[in-house]
Formats: sequence, C-alpha cells, structure tokens
Amino acid sequence: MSAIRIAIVGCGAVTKLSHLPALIGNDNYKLTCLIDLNEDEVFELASLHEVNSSTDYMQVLDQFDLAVVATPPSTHYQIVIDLLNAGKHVLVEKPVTTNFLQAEKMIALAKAEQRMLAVSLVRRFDPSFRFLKDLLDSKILGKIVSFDLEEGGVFNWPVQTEKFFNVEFIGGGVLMDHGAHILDACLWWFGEVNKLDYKDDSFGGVEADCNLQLEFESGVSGSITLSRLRNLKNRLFIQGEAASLSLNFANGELKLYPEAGSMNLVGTVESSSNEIVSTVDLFKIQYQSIYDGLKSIDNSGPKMVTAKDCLSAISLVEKCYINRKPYDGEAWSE
Amino acid sequence: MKKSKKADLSTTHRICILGAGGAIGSYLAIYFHNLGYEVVAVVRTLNSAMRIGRYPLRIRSLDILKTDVSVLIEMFEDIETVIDCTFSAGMNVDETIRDSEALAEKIISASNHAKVSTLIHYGTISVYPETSAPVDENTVCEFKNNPYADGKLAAERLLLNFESSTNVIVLQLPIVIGPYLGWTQRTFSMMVNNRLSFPSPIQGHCSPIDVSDVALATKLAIDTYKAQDSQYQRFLIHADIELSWEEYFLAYSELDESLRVEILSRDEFENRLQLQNRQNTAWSVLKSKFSQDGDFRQLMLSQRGIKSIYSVAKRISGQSGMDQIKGRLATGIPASDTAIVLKNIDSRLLNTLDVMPKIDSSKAKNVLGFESHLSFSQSMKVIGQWAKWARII
Repeated sequence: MSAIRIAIVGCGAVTKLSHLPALIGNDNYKLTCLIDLNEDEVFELASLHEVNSSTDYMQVLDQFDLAVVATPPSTHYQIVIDLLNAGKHVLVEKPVTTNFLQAEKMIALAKAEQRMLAVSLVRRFDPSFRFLKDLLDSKILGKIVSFDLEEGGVFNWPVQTEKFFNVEFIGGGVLMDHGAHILDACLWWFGEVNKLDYKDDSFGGVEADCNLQLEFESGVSGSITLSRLRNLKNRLFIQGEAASLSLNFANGELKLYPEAGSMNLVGTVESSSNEIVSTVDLFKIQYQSIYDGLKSIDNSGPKMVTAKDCLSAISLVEKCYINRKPYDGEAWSE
Repeated sequence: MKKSKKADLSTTHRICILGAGGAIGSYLAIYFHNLGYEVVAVVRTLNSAMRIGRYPLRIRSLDILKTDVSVLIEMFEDIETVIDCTFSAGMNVDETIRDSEALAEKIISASNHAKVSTLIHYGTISVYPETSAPVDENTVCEFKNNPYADGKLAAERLLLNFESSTNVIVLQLPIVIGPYLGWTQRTFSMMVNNRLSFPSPIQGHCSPIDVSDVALATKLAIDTYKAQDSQYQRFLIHADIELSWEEYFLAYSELDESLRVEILSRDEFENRLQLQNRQNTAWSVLKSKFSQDGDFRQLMLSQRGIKSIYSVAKRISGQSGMDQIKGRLATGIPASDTAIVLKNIDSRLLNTLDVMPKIDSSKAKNVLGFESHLSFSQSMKVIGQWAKWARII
C-alpha cells in the first residue's frame, strides 16, 4: 500500500519531541513538508529531515494528503477549516479548539468534505488507560461511587514562545492543555458530566493549578487536580461498591482492593509486547490507527480519536472556564 | 535633583525584573504587579515562568549572559527601575566570578544608557568575614574562595566602580525563606532525606528573612532613591530574628510528624549505638569512626534517619565498608541507605551554617525605614501551609 504524504504545520516542541520521532522510519508515511511562521527555524529543521519547508500551508497544498496541525490552540480553527476546504485529512493537536461552536463547525465540514479530522489525544492509546476502560466496562469494581485523580509536576516542558502566557492566544493554562487529556479520559471512563465546580489560580493570566469537582450522570462523583507548580501523586483512585482501585500514571502500577476478603491484587499494566510505552510510542500507535482508518484496514488495534469523540471534553473545558471560581489568594492559603 | 525622563512618560511606575523565574524574582513580580506597577518580567527559560504567568505581566525570555547589551538597552527604554535577581553559578569560583561580573556589567551598562532611574541588586551577607562582632555596611569584605559569596562580591565591586547616572542600591540579604525559596526547599530536603549534621562547635547566626520582607525592603529602597542624585548605596537587610541554627531546623521539624527530629549529643549518640546493637560489629565501626573524627557535637536525626542508620550499619563490615559509604555520601547520592551525612561531606553547607555573622542593620532602619512586618512563626505558618499543598510534607 502506498505511503500517505504528510506535512506538519507548526514546528514547536511537540513536533520536535513527539510527531517527528514517531514518523521517522515509518514506511506508512512520507513526510514531505514542514511549515512554520519562523522561516529560519523551519528551514533548518526541514533540511535536517531532507524535506521541503514553507511559512504558508496554502502555498504547498499539492505536497501532502494529511496535515498535522500543531500550532497554538487559538489558531487551530482557521487552519483546520482551510485544510479541510482544500480536501486534506487533518490530525490536530489537542485541544481541538478553544470553543465548542468552532469544534462543531470543524466536525460538520469534515463530514461534508468526507475528510478525516482526528485529534492527538494519545493518552487514549496508553495501555493502562485502555485496560482501565476495559476493567470499568467489565463491572469488576461494582457500581462506581467516586474517584480522585491527581496529575501534575513542576513544569519542565520546553516552552518556545512568550505567547504561551497570552491567555487570548493560548486559550488557557493547565486545564486547557493537560486537562484536554485527563477530561477526555474521565468522560471516556465515567460518561457524561451533569454538574461541575471549578477553581483555578489564574489572576488574569494562564492558570497553573486547578481543581474540578464533578458529578456524572452515572452517579459517580469525582475530583480532579492538575498542576504545573507542584509534584502531585500522579494517580487515580476509584472507589467502587465491590472493590477500589488505584492506578499510578507514572509506571502503570495498578492496585485492586476488593471490599470482600483480605486479599489485594497489585500489578503493572503492560503493552502486549511487554515493553514500556513511551510518549513517542503512543504517537506511533496513533499514527498506526490513523493509517488503518484512512486505508480502511480493519484490525484489533485501537481506533483513532476523532474530533467528534472529544466534543464532550471540549464542552466541559469551556464550561469550567465560564463557571470558574478563583482560589482565594494562593491555593495553599485556602 | 536627578531629572529622569521616565517620570514624564506615565504615572505608572515601570519595573523590569531580571531573573523573574526564580523564587525571589517571581515573588517580586507578583508583589509589584499587585501594587499597581507595570512589570516586565524577564526569565532565562519560559518553563520557569508558570507562577508569574498566572498574572497579566509582560514576560520576556532572555539569557542575559548571551544577549547583546543593545537588546537590554531597548528593553529598558521605558523602564524606571530595574530589579536584578540574576545569579549565574559557574563550574568553579573563577567562572562564577567572571559570569557575575559580566552579568552586572551588562545590566548596569544598559541601565545607564537607557537612563534607568534605579537599579536594585541583591547581595548576600556571606560576603562578610567570619567574626563574632556584628558586621555593618562598612565592614571590609574579602573573597573567600566560595563561589556564591565571591560571585556576589565581584558583582558588587563592579557596580561600585561603574560610572553611572543610575542609582545603584545593593540589598545584602541573609537566608531568604518562604514558599518556593531555595533555602526553604533545601531545608525540607535535608530534613526529609536526613542530610543534616551540625559542626562543632556550632557558631554563627541564623537570621532568616521572609521573602515578603525582601519585597518590602525593595519597595522602600525604590521609593527612597527615585528622586535622588545618582549614587551607590549598600544596605544590610535583617528581620531582627535571632535564631540559632538548631532553632531554625527545629521550627521546620514541628511542621509535620514526618520531620520530627531528635538532637543527640555525641555521648548520647554513642550510647544509642551501644544500646541499640551491642552485638553488631558494624555499630562499633560507626562508633569508632565518629570517635576518631571527634568533629561533631550534635547530630540531628529524624525518625527516618534513625531507621536508616541501622540499615547503613548493617552493610558495614569493616573500615573499607565505612570508607565506601563515605565515598558514596561525598558524591551526594541521596539513597535511603546513605541517610546520614558526616561533618566533612557537605562542607559548603556547613561553612554557610558556621560563618553567618551577626548583622547590624541600623542603616536600613534609619535610611529606608525598613522594619520586618512578619514574625518567624508567622513566616513558618505560611511555609507549612505551602509545603503541605506542594506535597513536600
């Protein structure tokens, strides 16, 4: 089968650290062009990978069939619309966009143009996340009562632009960025939310620490804490009527505590190849899922995540910001 | 009177904070923003700007050492006050001195060209000699072959000798404590990992100052000198908190059960070793090692530390084993089985504890009107709240 011609729009950290390493050596794809507003940097990067470079995706439309959009979130909408109108398939970095209405329009256009609009929510491919989904669906924990999820650490992502702190440009902070993964996963695991209470530490800039209290239609109540300022436990604890469970995000360790009896189960979620799954591996799985989707290959592997799949998460993030309550001073003084 | 073009631009006071990604710099950026100042916050790497990024500040990313001075001049064009919180730690003393001088020269040169009214620079009391008499701003400072103190002193001397129309105010600080502060984090780290012992005899003074008092002193300095002729002034900033190092560490230990410590005299420690494990030769080795050195008077051990020392001892079968453990400690490996630090291991820390002099801060009180607004216990209360929130304890 022929390789899919692919271009990447936006050559910041996620492109350099995740997309490109996942595409290098992948025979299913032929990287043809890198596009970024920074002419010198994109030329240098493209030369390194022996592909073309451009500062304008509209000028190189003939060079690709699938585009990765990895620009700041506030720019996603217009770029995706342009690309879909040009008949291109699109993989857009999370968050799809900064508001729900725009996301709906993008999805409608993709449907009308019969193009793929996938979202780079790679945590859905994490073996421990998938295993947890299967476990919850199996009802082994009984009726789920509540959960507590914490994820965060002192921020070390190599931010490349001062616009990262421009809330209008970037759309939001840790909720918009990290929360895109976590809220998507929680909705995938527990269903739709019908009540929320959201607090963060923004004082007019981008929030670095936030807490959500959620009530789901299924009756589950949950707490989610995300941070770029402190090293949190990085784990999910779920309380069910038949058993409780904790999942360590860092190493995939899973502990199961049945309500009855005195035995506990402790183990590690592994991929079928028994190899530790890195972030780049998750991107490789994602590219395989997209290839399979575009080539109509039916296999047992995970399916790509479409923009439609994460509409609820986009809506939830938007509701959080609309109903936002500030911390009273610094979070620790509350 | 000095006529600054900056005062004509706007009624809003514009401040540029260099090193705003650090703990002191980020606190100052938020403090002055909340007071209504327009703040330009300069960080070396943007990932360090998460705290200040929560506020609508102008954030710029610059590695000042690698930046042409013309870029700084342009950045300072509408700035009235530059607050310099930068420090560049080199690989050794010479490198640190060289980088500190280069940083200071760029910053004062650009401030002078851009007609900045005042440059606030932070020095340290570590530049003063080991003396039992109180030090003041007239006490002679000399290089000590200590990278931090020598780098700071080199920068101060360069600023002193630079012909400039910008006021240069140097605030010399003792250890600064508070949420996110390096000293506070290091203290927690030492206590959590039991990397703490006292030299003998314990000398010097622990004179911690809360970061909010540093901000207050900075504001008073800006207000005092904004309409003054250009001059160089140096102030020792002190919160009038007289603590021994023992009291300082005990205050942290009271924040949480996990940090509870026992302070043992040498005799008590030796007795403990004998009592705990009479039959174990490993303990004799440990005991003899401490006795031979005879260079500690007190040892502070947390509950975890006491447990850890048992596991250390069990691994020691003789003198070579002890040397091996010392070697591992010297490399700073914070493994659970290397939880006790002998006196001569972390010499930089112990020197710091040893030599901090008593401070005469009457100049800051008389000229700036600076007086601490926070007691040590109030400061520790905030630190405790923050440490729990930050999952440190």
